[in-house]
Amino acid sequence: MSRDDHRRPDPDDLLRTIRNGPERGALRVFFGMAAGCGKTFAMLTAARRVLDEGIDVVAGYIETHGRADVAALAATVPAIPRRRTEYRGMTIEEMDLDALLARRPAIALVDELAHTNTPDSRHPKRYQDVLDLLDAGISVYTTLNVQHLESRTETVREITGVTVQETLPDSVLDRADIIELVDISPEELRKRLAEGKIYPPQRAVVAAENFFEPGNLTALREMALRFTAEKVDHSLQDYRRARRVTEPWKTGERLLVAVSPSPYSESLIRWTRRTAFNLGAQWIALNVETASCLSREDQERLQKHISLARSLGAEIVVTQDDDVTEGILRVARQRNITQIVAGKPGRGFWKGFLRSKSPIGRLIRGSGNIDISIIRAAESGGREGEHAEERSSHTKRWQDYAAALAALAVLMLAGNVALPYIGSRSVALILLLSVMLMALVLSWGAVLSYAVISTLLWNFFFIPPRFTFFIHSIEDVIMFFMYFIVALVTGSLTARIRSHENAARLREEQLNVLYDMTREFVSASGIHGAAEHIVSFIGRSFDASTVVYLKKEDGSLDPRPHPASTLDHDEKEFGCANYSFLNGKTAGRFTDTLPFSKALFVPLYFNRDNIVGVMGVRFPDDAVLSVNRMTLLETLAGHLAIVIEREFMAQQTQNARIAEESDKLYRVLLDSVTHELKTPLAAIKGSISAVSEAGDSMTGGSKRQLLEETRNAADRLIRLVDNLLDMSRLESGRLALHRDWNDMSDIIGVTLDRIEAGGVRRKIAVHCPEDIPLVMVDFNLVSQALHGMLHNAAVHAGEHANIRISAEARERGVAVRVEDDGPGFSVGETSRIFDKFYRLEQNGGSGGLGLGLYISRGIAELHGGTITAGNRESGGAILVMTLPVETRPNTGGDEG
Amino acid sequence: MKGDRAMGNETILIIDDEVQIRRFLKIGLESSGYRVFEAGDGTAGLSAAVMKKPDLILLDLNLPDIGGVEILKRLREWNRNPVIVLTVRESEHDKIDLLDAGADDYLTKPFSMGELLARIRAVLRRMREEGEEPVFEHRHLRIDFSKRTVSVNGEGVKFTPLEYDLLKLLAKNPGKVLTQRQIMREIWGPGMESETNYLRVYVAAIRKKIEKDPSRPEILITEPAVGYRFAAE
Repeated sequence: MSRDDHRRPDPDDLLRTIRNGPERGALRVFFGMAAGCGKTFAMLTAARRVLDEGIDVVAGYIETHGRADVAALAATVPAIPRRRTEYRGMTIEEMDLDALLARRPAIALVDELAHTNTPDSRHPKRYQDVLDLLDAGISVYTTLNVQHLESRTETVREITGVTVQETLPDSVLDRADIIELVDISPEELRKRLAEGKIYPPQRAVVAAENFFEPGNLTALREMALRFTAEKVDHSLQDYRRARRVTEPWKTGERLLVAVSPSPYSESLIRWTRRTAFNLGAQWIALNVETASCLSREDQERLQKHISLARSLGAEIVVTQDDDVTEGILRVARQRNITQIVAGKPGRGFWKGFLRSKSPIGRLIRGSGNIDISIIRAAESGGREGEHAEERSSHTKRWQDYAAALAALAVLMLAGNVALPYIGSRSVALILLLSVMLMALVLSWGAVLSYAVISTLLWNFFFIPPRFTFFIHSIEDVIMFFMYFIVALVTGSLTARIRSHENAARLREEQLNVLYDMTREFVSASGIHGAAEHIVSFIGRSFDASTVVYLKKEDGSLDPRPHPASTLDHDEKEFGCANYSFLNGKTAGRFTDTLPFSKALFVPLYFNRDNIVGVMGVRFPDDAVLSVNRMTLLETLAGHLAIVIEREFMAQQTQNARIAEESDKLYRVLLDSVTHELKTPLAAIKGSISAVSEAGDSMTGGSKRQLLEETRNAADRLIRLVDNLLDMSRLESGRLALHRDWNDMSDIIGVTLDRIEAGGVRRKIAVHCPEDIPLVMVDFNLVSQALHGMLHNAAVHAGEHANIRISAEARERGVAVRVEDDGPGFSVGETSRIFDKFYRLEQNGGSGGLGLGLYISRGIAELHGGTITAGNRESGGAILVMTLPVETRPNTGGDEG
Repeated sequence: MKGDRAMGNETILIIDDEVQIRRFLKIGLESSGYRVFEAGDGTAGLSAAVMKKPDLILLDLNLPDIGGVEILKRLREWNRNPVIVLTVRESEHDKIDLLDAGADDYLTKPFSMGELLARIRAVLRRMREEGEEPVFEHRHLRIDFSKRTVSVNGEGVKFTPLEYDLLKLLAKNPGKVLTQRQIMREIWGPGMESETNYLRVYVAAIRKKIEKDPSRPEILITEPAVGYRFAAE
């Protein structure tokens, strides 16, 4: 987003202007017309000055170009050691961005803003390093020559004939707080060049005759001055706005430029940017996707143009329409565009003639109150590349033409042979048929040519007098023109039908893809399901592997990939993922940030303030990412983000509900615990005080009885506390299973000992087959679970009931049942007896807290098993615990 | 019952940081005829062990200053006297470490005085009676170590060599808890500690031969999740 927005009196923008102040570092650019005008020197002088004021200034990178005065001055400023890196066999020194960020000076000096970094750097361009520094709150002094400005490169090329390789997006300069023009007269500059102060003597001579030619320098100087003046004008506007100076705004000028793969597009984009900047207007770069398939080269070029527009500060809009003109007008109306910028292509007459319904004409007719600016568009930049591309698309076209010619030749021969039998008019019909067939496979141009040539050839070979273009009879003349028109119309109609069909098919494919995805998505449950679907979907449709990282609870990005990922975690790549996560920007391959990463990282968010994770996609090495597919990826990321966010939210709601529930439980617990604790405590205190206060007057018998009472009460307290502790351990998930091979009959035996030690004097029948296998369980916990079941039976079955415990082997693991012949459960009880604090009605006071079976069930579930309750047919209750655990035979005591 | 009172000259050191626990232990033990020393933390306990040379140490597992395993290790550097560990349910696995490290027995708080006295008697008796006795008799069970024969109710019972070794190991340490790891290492050798399924199979086989009701054993007693103990009296 460019600062052009700032022209609107929007509170958000004002806020942003204010925010630009304290948080972010200030950018000061020393701006000059050409090398050697003294920018670095001026920067160092300024740095020296603030350094003397006691401000922390560090040189990140200074290019002295071997100039002594600059080097001497540079030596007085503390510097960060440069990073050395190997590139194509050379050792190259680069600015050490990380060291600089770690050092956190108040001001960093970074020379040559337009510099291109070596591939192993974090960013491909130095200005991106500078933006990082600014974002980190470090102010930056930097230098720049006017010819490096993206929007000026074309003009520079026109003036000097030099194509500038290292360019800087204008939007970067929009962020500059101060632009300081370092001006020098062209004569002075040439003098310095001659004195060898800029380049070594030999290079200086060459330079003086080329780039440093006086005319060039004057033009460059004018550009630099003009640019600075424009900036000053804008600063004034900023100032006025901040001071609430009301001023007539350029009322919402909005420019729109259509972006296409055409080589002319680039200069249109630059022109629009310049105009928008001067008008203080927003501008939109629009790409209208049509049904026609773009070639690989076209796609790459389109991509390049879109990123150019983005870097120049345009808002990018992509829309779909079969008719480009219609698409442009639709978006223009939707977005309240005031001016559409269109190119006046340097087309030949022929093309102009064929496309009589020229898009520009239609644009003008359909534009209504929108201004149309028609710009003479020049083919620009990288000419050699263009030619190669032209050639490649030509070859394809020539193949079409060759096929058409070949078909025509065959038909002509066949026609010649058949002419005596069928007559010239039948040949015409056959030719017409062939035109239609051609239209089904060949390009439009080839079909047209085919139609025209076939007409002429038909005339030449078949219409008498044969082998002349002369036509004898009026009838044949009519026939000739009829044929010509019918061939043309048929050809173009068929071609159009075909293209519509293609478009429809393409759209249907896209719809199908989306439909499939949506359907899968709806059936997917939770983050895992959604992630799995998206990952497999990307795998299928992009032939790419994917890694998904999610946000941790502490707000940072979890370096453990989500299990659905198909791409392995890579420490180096994770840095890129983290960048994407922290900045909410797409990073990695195909982007400007860390473009040498192997994967593309898309942040997952529905709402930009809440980034929930990052999705990394690794495409095949030769992949090209079209806007279409990028959009699809972003849509997928959005879908995934929604699911994740929803899940996170559900979790929060769940937590809140649990908190509420536990609050309610807490009150119930407090009530019953108070009761359960107080009863034995009352018994203990009462008995003990009776014994101690009565002294010797009490008989030995009653003393023993009271002490026995005390001991029982203490046991009850112990049980209570144990149950509470078990419950809390079970619920906190801290109850770790210590599994071991155990003998089920041993567990039952120990449990019965415990039951008896706990004061239950009841005959319990045991039935445990001798061959019951050993089970992989936690002895103590299973014993405790059985204890809960037996205790329940002992308490609720009544004093005279028979209790039976039995174990049996199951297909997997074992099952233990506890049965009694008491009253059994009443209706509805079976589902509730495992609830926490549930106490059976019939047994009012003595049943404890109602935790026993709750804990039993928890333990069974820890082992992956269940407990069910029911009534026996013959009466009485039955509890069955299944433990589907690993088993081993409990026999074979042979010597090993 | 015989041995209800101690010999009168035996000394016990209690290392526990809870005053209330120390107090009731002291009263209970002294009324049974033992002389009792107290220590409130590990450091004091170690120095008391050196100064007083107690016959038996009651060691609380959770001391504020030094861990139980560490105290036991330092004690064992110079002293072979029996140690009974006092533990709570929450630290079940620490107590296995302590038993492995050479503690003689353990008791889980809260326990009754009777239980504690029984354990103390068993451990002290074992100390006194250490030495090779050719024949071991317990209830209806008789083991002749010199002949490697076992008889139940006067009738000879056939034991496989491994069953016999296991029974002998336990019978040689009546009342003492032997951890699974100790037993496995002793009988099956090191490296087999996790193959406890063998141990279970052999224990079940032995119980069938010596117990009246193998499902409710009275001689070869299970210490849940810890190991086994040969009943003391």
